[in-house]
Amino acid sequence: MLRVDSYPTHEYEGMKLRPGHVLPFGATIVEGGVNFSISSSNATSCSLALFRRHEPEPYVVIPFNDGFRIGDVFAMIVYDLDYEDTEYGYIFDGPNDFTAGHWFDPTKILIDPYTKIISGRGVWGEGSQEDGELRPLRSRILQNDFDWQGDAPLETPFEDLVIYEMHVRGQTAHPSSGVKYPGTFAAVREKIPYLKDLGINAVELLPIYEFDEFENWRYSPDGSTKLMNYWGYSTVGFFAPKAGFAATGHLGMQADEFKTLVRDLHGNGLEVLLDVVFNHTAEGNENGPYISFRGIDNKTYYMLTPDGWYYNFSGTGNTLNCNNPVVRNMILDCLRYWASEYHIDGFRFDLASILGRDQTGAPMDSPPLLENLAFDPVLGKCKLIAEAWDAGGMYQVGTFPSWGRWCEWNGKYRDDVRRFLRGDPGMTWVTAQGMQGSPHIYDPRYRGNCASVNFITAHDGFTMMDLFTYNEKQNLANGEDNRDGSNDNYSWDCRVPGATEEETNALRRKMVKNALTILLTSLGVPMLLAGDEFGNSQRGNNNTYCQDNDISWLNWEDLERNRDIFEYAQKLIALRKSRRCLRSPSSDHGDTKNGYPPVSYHGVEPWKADMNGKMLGMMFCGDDDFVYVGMNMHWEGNDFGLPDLPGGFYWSMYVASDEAVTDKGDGAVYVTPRSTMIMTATKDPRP
Amino acid sequence: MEFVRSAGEKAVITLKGKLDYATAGNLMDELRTLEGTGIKRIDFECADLEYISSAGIRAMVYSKQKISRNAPVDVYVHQACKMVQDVFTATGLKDYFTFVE
Repeated sequence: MLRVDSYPTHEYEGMKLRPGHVLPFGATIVEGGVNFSISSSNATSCSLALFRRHEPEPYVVIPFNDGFRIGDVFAMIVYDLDYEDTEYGYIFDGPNDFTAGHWFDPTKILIDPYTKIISGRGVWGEGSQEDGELRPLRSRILQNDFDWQGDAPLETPFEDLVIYEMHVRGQTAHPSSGVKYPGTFAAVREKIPYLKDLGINAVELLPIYEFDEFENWRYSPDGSTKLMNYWGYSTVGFFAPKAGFAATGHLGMQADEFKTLVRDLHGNGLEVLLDVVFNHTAEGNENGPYISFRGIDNKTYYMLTPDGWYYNFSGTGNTLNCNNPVVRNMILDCLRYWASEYHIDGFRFDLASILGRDQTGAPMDSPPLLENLAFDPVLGKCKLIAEAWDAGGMYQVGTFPSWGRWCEWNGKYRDDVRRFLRGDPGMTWVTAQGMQGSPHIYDPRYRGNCASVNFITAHDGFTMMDLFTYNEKQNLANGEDNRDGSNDNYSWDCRVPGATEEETNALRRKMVKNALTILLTSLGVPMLLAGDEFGNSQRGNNNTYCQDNDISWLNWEDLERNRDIFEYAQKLIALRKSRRCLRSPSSDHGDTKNGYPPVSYHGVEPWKADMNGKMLGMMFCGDDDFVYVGMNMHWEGNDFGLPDLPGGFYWSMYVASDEAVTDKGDGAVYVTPRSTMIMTATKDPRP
Repeated sequence: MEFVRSAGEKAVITLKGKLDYATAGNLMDELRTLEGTGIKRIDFECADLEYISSAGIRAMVYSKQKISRNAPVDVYVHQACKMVQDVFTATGLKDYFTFVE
């Protein structure tokens, strides 16, 4: 079709131009050229700087004249661009008045907030130029097509998910991973058979938005290694996949490579959830660099005190002004983009409570951003998971505004279960609550049965093996004198007086299995930290944000060393998938057809739970479906009496964390000290 | 870049140097001339192909998907260097074409 508006109307220093389309924002390939569109509410002028790849200076800087602006949007089509060899940035001018919140500086070249790919960090850790300076981060133009081969988001029911939290680089960067392109999206593709074998059906990826691994980099205390921005909770470009996570990042093909990973994960039944960071940006505090937002429209994008300082509810120096309408729209555009263009199945929102603060930082009753996300049609089937707290003191676990759509990382579950596992007294009641989806904090009438994403460990904190190896964090390698990282770990080093090293290690392995037992039989949605399924250790470091080395990277040799733990996890996941009663129903059905409650608590005697003890039995029932989980966190063994079953059913042991756990055959099971076991009921085939 | 076309159901295209935005358009023009000719197989001779970009890959995908209206064309990639093969592997396209050493 011939368009009458697809030819140049203007020329500037040999560049052919015409007024552009204000929407979509960003750089979009159109017939004959590229449409550039960007907004600023407070700028007085804007120019587009075009660079040839890796060149230090722009070959042309094109001002947007008045005919190229509608409202606050600057839009222009530039014709005959070699989009693969082009980098671009924007130059804004306007008031520079700290107290008023304006930081315009026409000497700065800024990244497009809507850029789809970014250059400058195309290979992880290799950002240096010849003079030793880091390459500038610059926007690039993406040909945003992809052959999805019929793929679509999986829309797996939330209650059926078993989430696996993974760092893209850490998953395969270790030499033991045996992949062709370590540390990349392509390498995660190579591990898909492993993930399927484990049985998980969703991966939750730590930030894959473009970030700068060199942000605040420094040498380790012993000078042996660089401490990097490894986790990446510091976004440079919300719409851009991290180039350094792609084997093809140096070619600008990170979008293709990541889409291929998503497509192949979906093809193997695995959903893809992204850990997204909208609470702050990489521009830091008042001393931070100009990267993008600060120079485009500081007052719009950031929460500012009345005298112009940054509010710091994120703990990183700035706070994105999420409930400003412009920023709200950007976040919505961003998530829609990932859901539609990358087929992403859901999002976990880092420090999500910030998304519920107004422009002065005050908590809102009904935050428009959270409501928009809950009811957005493009995101209608996406999982929305909140980390329901922030660094400014808001803690909303159990009270995060949900509209029946949002669920939460359940930090209370984590702490309660940890304390029960190590044998703290008085933890049975809260553990029992946690194992039935935490109805004490998520009223099922309003939040359903899947409001709780259950986890015992996550990237932020001890690994499961370290949880039972260290009493205190071991973070000296971070170079902060062990001040960083949480002090409230509820961990235990498993050292028992008189025990040999071998006995101690055996106990640790058993405690990992105990934790897996509870996690993978709890109602709600379980999330497993990558590597916990084979006893990964971070040497006691509970805050590995800067450790791009074998402290963080999964050592795949542990898979063989701890094969028993892997097989145990595998078996638990298989049980969960095969037993409906272990997955949260979408509604409360009342008692089952045999008259049993869906969940019941027990002690060493059936139906007699001791809510102040260290022993707990949980029975999960569906129609003709019975699972009993016995947990003895006492230092002495004990018999656990099993609840009677309806006629025609009998108990059999499915798995135990200790081989010495014994089914005595008389309706009782001897559970050894600090052990767990699972019994399942099978229908007697005899007439 | 150099195109050598043989008659019949098979075309041979020799790629040299860089296949990127600047040259992919030429390849696309050449491929379009094959549309509707009954071509069933394309052989890309890549021994002297040093570099392939996103645009280059898209042109090759086009050759398989769009030249024949009836069925995908069989596309063979001969003697591709490691860099070229790596790009196809990392983007999941290695199995989409037949690579010949």
